[in-house]
Formats: sequence, structure tokens, C-alpha cells
Amino acid sequence: MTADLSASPIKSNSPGRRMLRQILRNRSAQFGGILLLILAFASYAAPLFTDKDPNKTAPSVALQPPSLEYPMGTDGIGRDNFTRFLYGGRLSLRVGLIGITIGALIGITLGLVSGYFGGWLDSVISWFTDVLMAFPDILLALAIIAILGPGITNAMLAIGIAFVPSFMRLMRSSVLSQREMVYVEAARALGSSDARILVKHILPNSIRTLLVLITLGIGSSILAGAALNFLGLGAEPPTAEWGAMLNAGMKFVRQAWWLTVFPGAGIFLAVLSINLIGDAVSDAVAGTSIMPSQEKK
Amino acid sequence: MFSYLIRRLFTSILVLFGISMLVFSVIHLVPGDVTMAILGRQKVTEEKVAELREQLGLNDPLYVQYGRYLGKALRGDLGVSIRNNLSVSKAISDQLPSTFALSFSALLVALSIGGILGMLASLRHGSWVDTFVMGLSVSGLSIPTFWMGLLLILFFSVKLKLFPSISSGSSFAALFLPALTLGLPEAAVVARMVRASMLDVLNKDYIITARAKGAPERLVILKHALRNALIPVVTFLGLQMAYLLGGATIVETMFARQGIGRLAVQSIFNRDYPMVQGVVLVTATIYVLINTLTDITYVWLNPKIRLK
Repeated sequence: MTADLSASPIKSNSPGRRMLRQILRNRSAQFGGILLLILAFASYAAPLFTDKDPNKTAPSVALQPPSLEYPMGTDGIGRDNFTRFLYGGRLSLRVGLIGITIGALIGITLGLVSGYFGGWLDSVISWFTDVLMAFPDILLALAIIAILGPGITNAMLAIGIAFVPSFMRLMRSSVLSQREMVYVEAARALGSSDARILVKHILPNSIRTLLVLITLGIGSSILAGAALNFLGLGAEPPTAEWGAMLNAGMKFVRQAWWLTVFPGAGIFLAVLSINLIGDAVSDAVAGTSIMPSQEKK
Repeated sequence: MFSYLIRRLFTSILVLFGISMLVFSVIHLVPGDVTMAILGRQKVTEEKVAELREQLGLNDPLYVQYGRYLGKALRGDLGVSIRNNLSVSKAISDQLPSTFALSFSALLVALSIGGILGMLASLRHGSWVDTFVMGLSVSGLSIPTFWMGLLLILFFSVKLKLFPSISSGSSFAALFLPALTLGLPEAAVVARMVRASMLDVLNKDYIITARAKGAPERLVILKHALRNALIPVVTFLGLQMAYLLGGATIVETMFARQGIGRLAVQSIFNRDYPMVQGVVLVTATIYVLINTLTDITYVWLNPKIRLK
């Protein structure tokens, strides 16, 4: 990777490029990236690896241990665990991604508004996020599910809302530190509207800080989604999803270890890969500054 | 310090006020008619619906309902379960000791294992020990609590037959697996904190001074470095404890343990709104109290912040 970049005739040296280079050079991020690609590819290209149907039952082959025919064994009603593992990954990864997207969109908007306009609006929004923050993570998601009722869409919403306070706080503090800067003043003097200043100037300058929360947040969001599914508050049977599969497999924990070990390993590896990338992103954000001369060699 | 105390307490009261409003509104935010959600598809008579509305006090204006809810809650009355007509406060106070026992023992696990690993990593900074501990730590942060518990059950309970996989009570045997399940992922966080804090302290002038005057290395580490390195960790304890209260939900469900976390999950399935409201209100209040105490302790330990 690095060889390619240095060989190119025009070497871009924007802060973003430098950050990306540093992330790509990081050993654990490389490992995490490859692991994540494998998992995502295996899930989304599932039909390439299996010709079975994830929901097709065959009671005659129930609870078979892993074999060549069934690489991850079969479950209590004879469904192929490997096929369910592959298809289940799609949903688990999607829950994580959508959850964090909802949280980021709402949180960033609230943070921008709250930090930029200040005043009573800021006080109300800050108070509201303080209240949300007063609920331990999973409890807030549980309360939201209690309102909306169980289900996979509601689980994504619940996770999203649980992430709002962290994004809001980070965005708000970033806006506060930039609001009085000369470039914002210059933009205002040139007649830019508030909306334009927020979206065109302040938001892009906050991306670096937000990036860390977003990457690490995807991991936590997948974990939270799997937890809700494990508690039975997400995907409804027979939908394959890693957390829900693990929950169903608990009934056979003494007879069939493969029903719980594989889906759990799926969640673990997915979150691990994202956390490894996240650590590298946070190192890169801390290590590369906007000014080239300050970059750590 | 006094003015800080007042300000901090005032913020907490505002937050508690918000929590009570949010918890109160749970029942009103349910899409459609809440009585229908509770009664489900049973064949119900008009009288039955009217009776339930009366029991939940839904016929009064919202502010009257909220005022009544808050007034009762302040006196420790959280209403009555829709499913079995038992007092919500009683149900919660019956289950709380079990959850506390679990959270405390998990905290012990997290502090002892995380503390030792973090210290080892900082003392061997840059060596394979450090790499290994940090690897363990990032794995610990990525592992789902319920999978951790499952692997422990498979090993200690199915294979070695040492500890029960279903456990209630506060005996050592009953708490062993649940506490490890809840505490080990948390140990990963503690290990990172202790390592960072130790590395920071080990570079301080007073450590160099202590070494220069010929103090034995063991004394330098234990008396000078560790004691100072633990300050930020100790102030973080409150948050950890609160986090463990939330995580108890999964562990209690998994081991079929008594506790308010499992009570909450079951009440959601039963559509027992007063019970859900009660558990959420109590847990969030405990969380706020712990956070407030943590902040006050932190400021008390750090005069620099106090003066700002």
C-alpha cells in the first residue's frame, strides 16, 4: 500500500490522506479490516458458500454435530447452522450499522444546533441528553422497546436513540470550540447563513473527532443489537440473527455446543475487527494534525 | 467546594426530574391505546377496559396524572403490577439485593484482574507482556457478555461440572460464574485505565526522585506509583458500578438469576408497564446518585478542578 502511494508522481498530502495512510499502515487495523471483509463477504455472498435454505427444517437430522455436510452442525429442528450463521450475519451487521446511523444523525444535528445557537435551546437540549445519559446503556434501549414493543426495527431505533447523547455531546463541544474561530467569523462576514456555516464549515472540521466515535460506535451498536436479540426483544423466529440464534441454542447448551459457540464467535469477531480499526483511527486522529509539520513520524 | 456541591446537587435534581417525566410518559408513548396493548387480543368487555383505565388513572388530565405519579414515587409507592396486583416497590426491593450482590462481586473481579494485568503491562511497557495484555483487553471489549457467560458455562459447568449453570442466591458457588461473566469484560476496561494511568505516573519527577535516593524498586512501584495511579481509577469506580447494574440484565436472564434486570425483561414481555416503569426509575435513580457521588469525590480529591 505505502509503496504504491510513494511511487505515484503526485503525492497528495492532505490531512485526510495522511490519516488514511497511517490507518492502513497499522498492523491491527490491517488484521481487523481483513477479518471484517471476510465476515461481511461471507454474509452478503452467502448463496456462494451454501445452497441450503436458512429456514428449511428437517427434523430427521436435528442436532447433528459439525461434519462435512453440516460444517457448523444442525439445530433442534434440523436447520443447517452454517447457512443460518451466514444469513444471520447480514442482520447482525445491519442492525449495528443502522443503529449507529440513526444515533449519529440525530445526535450530530442536536449537537450542531445546541452548540451553535446556545441560549435556552442549548439548555433544553443539554438537559434532555443529560437525562438520556442517566440511563445505563441497555436500560434505555429496554425502556424504548417497552414503549414500541419487541421487533428488529424497534431494536435498531432503540439502539440509535441510546447513542444520541454521546454524539450530541461530542458535536456540541466541537462546535463550541470552533464557533468563535476566525474562519467562522470570516464566513459570517461574507454573509453565509447559519445553516451554511454549520454544514459547510463546522461539520467538516469536526469529522476527525466524530470518526472515532462512529467506528467504535459501530462495534458497540452490533453488541447492543445482539444483546437485545439475545434477550428475545429483537428478531422474531425463524429469522436468523446471531444473538437470537445464541438465545435459541441456550436450550441445547448441554447437548449441542455448536449452536451457541459459532453465532457468539461471529458477534465477537465482527466487534473485534471493528474495535481494532477503531483503535487505529483514534491513534491516527491523535497522531496526525491538520498542520503537516506537526505530524508524528 | 460548598457552591460546587450546591450546583452539582441542583443538576442532579433536574436530571432526576427529567427521568421521572420520561418514565412517566412510557405508558403514554405506547402506539395506539395502551389498554389494548395490555389486554391484547383477549375478548374484553367495555367495563374491563374502563376498569383498567381507572386503575391506571388514565382519565385525568396529564399534569394531574404526572403530579400523582411523582408524589407517590417520592413516597416510595411505584404503583401496582398489572399482572399480579403486587406492589411494584415490594417486587423491586425483593430483587435488588440479588442484583447488588452480582454487581459488587463483578466489580471485585474487574478490579482485581484488570488491576493486576494493567500494572503488569505498564511495568513491562513495550514488551510482549504489554502486547499480550492489550490484546486480551481489546478482546475483552469486543466479547458479548452473553457469549462470555456461555463459554464459562460450557467449560465450568458442562465439562468440569464445578459450578451450576442456573444460579440464584449469593453463595460463592452461585455467584462465581455470573460474576466472572459480568466482571471479565469490565476487567478489560480497568486494565487499560490502570496501564495508562501507571505509565503517566511512572514518568513523573517524584518517581525519578524516589529511585535516585535509592528506594527499592518494589517500594517505588507500590508506595509511590500505584497509589497515585489508582486515583483516576477509583474515581471511575462509580461509573463502572453503574455500568454493571445495566449489564446485570443479560447475566440475570442468562443464569435465570433473581434480580431487577430479569424482572425488567420479563415485565416487557408481560406488558406490565407499571413494573417496567418502576425498574427503570429505580435503576436510573441509583445511576444518577452514584454519578453525583463520583463527581463530588473527584472534585474533593482534585482541588485544581474545585477552584475553576
